[in-house]
Amino acid sequence: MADISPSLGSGSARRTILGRAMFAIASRLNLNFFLGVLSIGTIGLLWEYARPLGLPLISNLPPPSEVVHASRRLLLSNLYWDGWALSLRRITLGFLIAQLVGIPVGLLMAMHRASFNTIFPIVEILRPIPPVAWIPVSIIFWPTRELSVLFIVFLGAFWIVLLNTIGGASNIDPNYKRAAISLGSTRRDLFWRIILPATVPSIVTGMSVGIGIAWEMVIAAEMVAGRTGLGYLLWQSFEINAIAQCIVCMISIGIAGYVSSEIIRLFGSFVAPWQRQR
Amino acid sequence: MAQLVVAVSKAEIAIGAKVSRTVRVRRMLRSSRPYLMLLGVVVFFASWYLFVDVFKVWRFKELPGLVPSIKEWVNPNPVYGVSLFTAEYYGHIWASVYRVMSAFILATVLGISVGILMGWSRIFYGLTFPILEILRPIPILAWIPLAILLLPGRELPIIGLTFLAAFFVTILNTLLGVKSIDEVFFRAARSLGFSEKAILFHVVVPGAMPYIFVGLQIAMGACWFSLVASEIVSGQAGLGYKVWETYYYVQFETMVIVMSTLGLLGYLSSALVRMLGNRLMRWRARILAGA
Repeated sequence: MADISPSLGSGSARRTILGRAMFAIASRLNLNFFLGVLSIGTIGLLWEYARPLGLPLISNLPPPSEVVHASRRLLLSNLYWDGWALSLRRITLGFLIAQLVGIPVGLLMAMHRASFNTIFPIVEILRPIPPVAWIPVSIIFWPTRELSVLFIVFLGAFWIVLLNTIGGASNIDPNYKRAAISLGSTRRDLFWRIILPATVPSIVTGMSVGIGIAWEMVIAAEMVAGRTGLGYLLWQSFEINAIAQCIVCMISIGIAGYVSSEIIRLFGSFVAPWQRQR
Repeated sequence: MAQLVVAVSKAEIAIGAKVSRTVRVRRMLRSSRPYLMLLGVVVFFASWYLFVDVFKVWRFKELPGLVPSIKEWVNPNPVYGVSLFTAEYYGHIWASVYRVMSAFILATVLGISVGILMGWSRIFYGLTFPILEILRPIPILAWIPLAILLLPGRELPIIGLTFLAAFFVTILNTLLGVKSIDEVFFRAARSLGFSEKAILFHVVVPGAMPYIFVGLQIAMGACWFSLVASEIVSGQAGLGYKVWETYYYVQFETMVIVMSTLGLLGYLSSALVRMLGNRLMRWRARILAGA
């Protein structure tokens, strides 16, 4: 069911940036836009008036107006912005370390059969254990809380990056390698010109899944083991029964997650411009 | 005559398979692969044993050792009350498996139906996709407080969160599967006079199947993951709860038992989904082999 959009104005109007933007807005402002506004608006209204209407379950939540009010208060506090800064730092560090370890190990495993055969069983023993279950071990092992949170974030992103790197590097059409070898390229050329570029798209895929898991892990670790960060603030608000504040934290975490996925996507289209991103 | 040919060729295939299997095993044993894999496993356990049990290097001395953990696991009278021979062990396993099973089945049924409906009807897609896009970036674990608030009791929030993790993944993969079907199949079915219902069951469902099963495998992983997190936070039984309790009461050997059990169950349940998928998609393997 491919989207068969009318090819109106496919000439000059779509060439300029303004023309392209107009076209995008015009094609969005159709049925889908209307339906989206309709459904989100309905849910918002039901949520706002859940208590007067006596709706079950939703009336346990504070209405959106209260959430907006709470957010105004929270956005002015230092606690909130410190939470952002700390969570972002943990995500960035844990995620980057996962890339720095996962990508080289994955490439090594994909290119060197013996190391694949040796390392893969270890991966298969450890990987099925949910990363959340590592939280206690991590707290016991690492000397500081900060390091244990970082380790959990690292672990969340690591497996998926490793597996995607291996998958990408071992699914390269052998004809490319054969062609390069018969044209006289060395092993080094083969790596830099064939294997690495061909693996980049699946590394980016692994990264975009990995950043999602990394956010899950940072929230879990902060809720359970942390004393700071957005996840801790979320749990703390719940414990003191400030539910509106809790919802503000949820939305903030959602925004943070969305922005970081977008950054990965942009990075992907920067390092692998030939690959069309979904 | 035709039947005879089929029978003969089937027998040949069977013999071929048998021969090739023994050959394959022999060939594998002659290669370095199985020995290296064994080496990997040995290296893992040996380094655990040496770092923790024997030399007590740096921070590793804090961790539970390999030998005490295994001893505890197979001990009929375990020090901390959990081993292969105690009812408590199976009680926690059952509590977790029950939650994952009910959440996964619910998420599969609802997720596939919603996903197919979204791919099928433009109006439904327009209504639901924006909601999905707003909710999806929020990590499942950030829903824990709301789940506890919205759902009554202690059991339902955990099942609800486990469900939610699998639900989003299943919907998106099903939707992707429906969208991936070649437009030609729809046109062919319509021109051959299929009703809309027939198209749904003969084009949409089988066409989306490969993506759905990829989604189900990811969903299974997500289920275990969010189960453990929500059990840590709000459970009274289950493996995730036990991991945290053993940490709290410094019963680290039992922690190793519980973590290994979680890994084993996670592995088995993914294997189960994969097996089911392969069985349901035999037709596809046949087509791919023929093509």
